[in-house]
Amino acid sequence: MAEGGLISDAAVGTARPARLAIVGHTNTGKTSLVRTLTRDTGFGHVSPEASTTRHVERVRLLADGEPLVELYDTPGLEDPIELLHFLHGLVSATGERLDGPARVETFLASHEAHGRFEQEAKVMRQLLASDAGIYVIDARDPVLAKHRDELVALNFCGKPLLPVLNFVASPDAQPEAWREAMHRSAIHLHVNFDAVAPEQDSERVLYEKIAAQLERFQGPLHKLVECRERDARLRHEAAMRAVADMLIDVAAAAIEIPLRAKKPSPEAARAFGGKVIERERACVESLLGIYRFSDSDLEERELPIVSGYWDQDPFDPAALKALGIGLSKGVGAGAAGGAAAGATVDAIFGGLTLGAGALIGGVLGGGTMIFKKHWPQVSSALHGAKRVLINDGVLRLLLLRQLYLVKQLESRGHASVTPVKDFVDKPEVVIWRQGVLPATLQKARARPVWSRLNGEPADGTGRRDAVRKLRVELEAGR
Amino acid sequence: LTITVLARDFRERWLAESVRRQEAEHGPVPDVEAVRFARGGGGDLEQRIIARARRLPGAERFAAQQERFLRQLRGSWLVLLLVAAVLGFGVSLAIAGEPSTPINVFWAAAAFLGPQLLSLALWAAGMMQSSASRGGVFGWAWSRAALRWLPRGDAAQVAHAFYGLHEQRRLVRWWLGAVMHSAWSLAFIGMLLGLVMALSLRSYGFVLETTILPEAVLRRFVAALGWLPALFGFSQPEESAIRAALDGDAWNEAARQAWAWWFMGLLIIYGLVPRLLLWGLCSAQLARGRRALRLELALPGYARLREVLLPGSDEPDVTDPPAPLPPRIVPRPRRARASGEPVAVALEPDGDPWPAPLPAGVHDAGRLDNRAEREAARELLEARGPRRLLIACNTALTPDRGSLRLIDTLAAQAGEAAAWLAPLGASGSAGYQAAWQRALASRDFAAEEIFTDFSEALAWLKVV
Repeated sequence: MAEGGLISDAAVGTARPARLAIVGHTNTGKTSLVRTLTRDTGFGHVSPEASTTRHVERVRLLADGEPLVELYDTPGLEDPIELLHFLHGLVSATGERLDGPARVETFLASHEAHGRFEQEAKVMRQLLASDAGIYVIDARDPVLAKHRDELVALNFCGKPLLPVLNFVASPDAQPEAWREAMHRSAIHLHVNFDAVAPEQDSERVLYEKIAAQLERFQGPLHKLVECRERDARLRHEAAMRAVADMLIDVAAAAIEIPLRAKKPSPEAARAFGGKVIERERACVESLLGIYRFSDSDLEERELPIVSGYWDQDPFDPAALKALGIGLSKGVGAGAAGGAAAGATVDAIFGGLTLGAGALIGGVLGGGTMIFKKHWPQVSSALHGAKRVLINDGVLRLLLLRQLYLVKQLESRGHASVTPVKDFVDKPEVVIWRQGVLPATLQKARARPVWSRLNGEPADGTGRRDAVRKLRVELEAGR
Repeated sequence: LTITVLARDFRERWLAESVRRQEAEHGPVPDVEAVRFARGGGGDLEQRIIARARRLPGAERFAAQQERFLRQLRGSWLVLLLVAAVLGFGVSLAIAGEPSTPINVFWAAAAFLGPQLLSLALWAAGMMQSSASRGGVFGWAWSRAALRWLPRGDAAQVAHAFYGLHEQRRLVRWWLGAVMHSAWSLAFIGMLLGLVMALSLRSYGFVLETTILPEAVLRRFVAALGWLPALFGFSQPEESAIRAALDGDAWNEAARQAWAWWFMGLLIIYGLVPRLLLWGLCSAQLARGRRALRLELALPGYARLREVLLPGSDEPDVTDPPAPLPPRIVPRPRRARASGEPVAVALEPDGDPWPAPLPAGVHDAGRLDNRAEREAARELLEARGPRRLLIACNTALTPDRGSLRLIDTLAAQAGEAAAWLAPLGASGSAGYQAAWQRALASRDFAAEEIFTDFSEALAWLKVV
């Protein structure tokens, strides 16, 4: 059982998962850490009160169905000063001096382990039965005597301890003081890990540092990390695909209006806008599904979907302004007073004259591209109608909103990660705000058959390839 | 036969894909039981997705739709084959024409094989064009037709899924190729039957005619066309037969036999055999592609299921049950004879806020952090027996059992005790004030013994 024994660790084999006890002072975020590591937002109970967790709960971490790590969430230590005092006072039945683990075992057999130290005994018992401990620290707390005693008492178990500095991003955090205290207890590895809003790769760092102290479990821990990162990649890819799919639908969406009409009737415009809004909502739902966010998570995490700006109608010029998107041509002063949807919908080719003229010139000049591009417009004109598409500004808005949502969901929705304001000013986002739209999206403008909003079930090879290509373009822009 | 006969693996993926489309359009189906079943079955994500799809409430409906779709497909295909065979038969009779007019050898050969050549060339071009990877012209035609005329509802999901899966592995062209080549094969079988019947039951003559070509060209042509069939044992017309045909001696008995076999050779070797081979090739490619087919797990509809079917963790399990809860209020002992001067003490302050300026006549028992300080404070209180004790608690810290026990111990040494809740941390955060209030209440502190205002606390301390 002993780690780093005389027998080669590899020879021992790793038939069972690594057992990790999550220990620490009360109310430092142990259960939150387990929730984050398991991605199970329903695990245990979390509250700002002390001693919320009063039992030991095990959960296995699986990689493709195979259990690789067992996490044990333990109650918080609450009286470490007296505990350490008690441990120090222990002697063997024959009066000999005891080493750490023997001392802990004597303690566990004592009457006090079932009395005033019952909660502490649960922690020590579990740590003794585990391969290593993850010692969760609220980095905002000052390093007090009780914390130092806690470290000494936990070290008696003789297990590797990996301190996890929780809330280290807080302005009140005192990571230096904590590091110093850990060194004094001969603990030289630690990780910064915000249990609620962890950095992208902090989970990898956490497992790697555990693996560094548990040679025997390096393989499984590495596998777990790889599996988690692969899943994250796949989730991201699927999410971007869902966004691309929605954007293609909206970009290619068109309504036909009579040739002579300047803009669609308010009813038609509203119905059209309604479809677009519905499509965006469906996309949001799809993303929430991919990242496994339930409605209760949304409320808990205060995602922007439920707060203010998300509720804004994408056709409301104010919504565009809030994201720093300028309205493109065709939407001028009169727009604000017009029907909401009509305002930001404009006819891309300015009616037939330009469309047909360009077409004829293009064909005579031998350019088939122009023919292709203008064909839907012309084909509509043949039966006495012209097509009206969604304005670029609205497309940009939908694009930004969904990219932002993906980012939020990936950082598990912690509201403080990237405020909308900072997000829209990132260089990779500014491209979509002001620069040219992705090429595939522009192409989709002239492909009404690609849009599911045009009444027909859109499918087929061209659309499928376009969605794939657009996903790559969105990815490259970021 | 690969056109309508499907391996089980493919059918299952087809079902899963139909379900995905259905859910994408109409929202997720209630799947608690199906998910439990799929998780229990193990396997990789794809296997679990399939298991879930098979267990969903609407699965039988989809399976029935699949059967129906395949039946319709098989029916249409058989009709197509039949029509092709009948057409071939008819074409063959038409080309043979009336026995009174001798058959013009080249004219007839061109009539039999010309369309074949043209159609093969078109097919090959279609396969080679740049968009061939996307299904080519046929795929495009198919998808447009399918999208426009396919029924809606379950049947549409099933049909779209069938197309979509083939399209995903670029199999539509092979599927359509198999359909087309099978139809042509049957057409050639029909032609052969027609030809055999015509030649068996009626008397035809053969002529080789030309107006401007030299004879040698005709001969070479006959030899060239007949070369490949000859390799397979079809006899080339001999010199005498060619002579007879050239001379307009259409009814020469030996020559007619030779020409008849030459024709059959052409039809079989250039007509039927290539079509059968291509049919086989397309079927083989189709079968191979279907075997290699996997669900596209990056699609949002499948990605959504990853965490559900292959969760990152299993069900939590309590391995050590909670200790019984302490009594809600622990009665606090008070010291009976306490008349010493009031004392103030601070529990775990951090940084400057302690010692706070205390008025004269109040003893400061100091900051309590480690065990030695705690013991010293207890001893001091024991010796002095203060009539009132004020304990400053740091609301930047969580109240824990150790602190509360210490408060109990200290309070027991004084006549009366009260707590002052203040952010004694360097940061001044008072995050746990409410928690302290609740914790102290559980330790028998009355509401008027818990202060948040320092001057009020001092006023209380000095009451005699």
